[in-house]
Amino acid sequence: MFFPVLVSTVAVGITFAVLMHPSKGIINEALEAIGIDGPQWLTDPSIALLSVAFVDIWKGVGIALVIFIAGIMSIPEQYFDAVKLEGGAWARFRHVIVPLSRNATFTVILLSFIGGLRTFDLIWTMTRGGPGFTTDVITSTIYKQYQAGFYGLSTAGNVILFFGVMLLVYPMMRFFSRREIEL
Amino acid sequence: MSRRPRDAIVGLVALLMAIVLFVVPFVFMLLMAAKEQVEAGLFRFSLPAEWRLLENIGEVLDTRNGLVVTAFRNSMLLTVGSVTLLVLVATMVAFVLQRRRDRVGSLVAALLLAGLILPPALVPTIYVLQWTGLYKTILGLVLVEVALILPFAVIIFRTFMTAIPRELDEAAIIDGASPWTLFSKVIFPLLRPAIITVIVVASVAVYNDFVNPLYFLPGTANATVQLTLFEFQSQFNSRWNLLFADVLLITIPPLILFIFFQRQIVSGMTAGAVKG
Repeated sequence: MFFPVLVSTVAVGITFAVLMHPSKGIINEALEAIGIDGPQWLTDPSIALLSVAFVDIWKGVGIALVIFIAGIMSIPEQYFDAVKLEGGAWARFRHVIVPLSRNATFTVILLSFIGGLRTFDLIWTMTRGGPGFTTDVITSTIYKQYQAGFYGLSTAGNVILFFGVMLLVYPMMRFFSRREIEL
Repeated sequence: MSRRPRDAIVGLVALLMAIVLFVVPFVFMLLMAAKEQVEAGLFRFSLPAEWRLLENIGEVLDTRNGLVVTAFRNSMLLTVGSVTLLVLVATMVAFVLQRRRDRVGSLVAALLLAGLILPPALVPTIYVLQWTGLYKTILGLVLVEVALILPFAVIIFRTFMTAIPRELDEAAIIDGASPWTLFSKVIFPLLRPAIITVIVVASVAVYNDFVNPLYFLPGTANATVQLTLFEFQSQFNSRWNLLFADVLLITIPPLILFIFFQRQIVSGMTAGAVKG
C-alpha cells in the first residue's frame, strides 16, 4: 500500500484516467458485471473532481498510514491494559487509539491540506481542468495563464495561492499545536 | 460466539479489497505495456494475446530519436546533481543552526519552516533564472530543486544532530580542529544514517517531480522522464501500449529504491512529516 507514494503522480494519473474511462474502463466494466451502471467518472462535471480526489487519496493513503502507525506505536502500553479491563476492540479504538494518536491525526490533516491546495500533476494529467472548468484548481489556472503568456495573471494566481495557504495553514497549525497532547 | 469467524471474514474481505485496490492498477500497467496496439486500445484487464513487452519498450526507446533515453539521462543528471548539492548544503546549514543559538539562527529556522509550507512563486523564479542565464538548463533546475527540498533536509539533519553530543565538538576543538575539520571529519560522518534517508527520499521526490521541470525546463532537448510521459499522453493518443511501456519504464527506478531502502524511505517520510 505504500508503494503508490513513490510512483510518479503523472504515471498514476494516466493509469487512472484509463481505468476510469467511461465506456471501456475496467472500473465501470467491473461495476457492470455486478449490475451497477457506473458513472462517467471524469467527464461528468458533478463528480469529476471527486474522482480525482479519490485517486489522490489512493496515492496518499500509504504515507498517512505510516504516520498513524508511528503515532499509535508511541502510545504507552498501560492505556491498552487499562481499557482491556473495560471493553473490547471497539472501546480500545474509540477511547485509546483515536484520542491518543491525535498528534498523528493533526499531522495527516495538515499535510493533506497543504498537499491538496498545491495539487497540480493529477488534475493536469487526468482532466486538464475539464469538463469545462469544473475541476480547475488554483495551480492549474496558474499554469493555463502561464501557457497563454499572461505572466501577470499567472503570478497573481500564485500570490493568491501563497496567501491562501498562509491564511489557512498558519491558524490551523496554531490551533493544532495548542491541542497537541503529551504522552 | 460468532465473533471469531466474523472477525476472520472481515479481515479477509478487507485484505481482498486492498489487493484489488492496490495491486490491480499496477498489474494493469504491466498488461497494457505488453499488449499490441489495437488490443491495448480496448483497455481490457486481460492477458495480452502475445507478450510484446520488450518490443514495446524497444519501440518507446526509439521514438523521436531516443527522446526517452535523453530524458533518462537528464533525469539522472538532475537527480544526482540535486541530491549531492542538497546533502552538502543541508548538512552545513543544519550544523550551524543546531549548534549555534542566536537571533539569526531562529530567523533562518522560521524561514525554513515557511519554505516547508508555502508554495514557490513560479514566474518570478523564471525571471531570476533568465537574468542569471540559467533558464532552461539542468543546473538552473538543480538549484530550484535544492531550494525546494532544503527545508525538509535541514529539519531531518537538525533533529538527528541533537543526538550527537557537544562533547565531541569540544574534544575536536581542543585537539586543534578548525570548524571545517570539525564538520567534515567529525559531524558529517556521524550523520550517515540521516544522509542515507535524505538521499533516498530526495531522489524519489526529484525524479518524480513534474511541475518544476514543466515550468523551468521546457523544450524537448531537456525533457525529463516525467515530461516524456506527459508529451506521450497527448501524442500517443491511440498507442496506449507504448504510453504504458513508458509508464512502466519510469516506475522501475523508484521500485528498485523501494525494494532496497524501504525502511529508510518510510522512516524518512514520517520523520519529516512529524516535524513539519
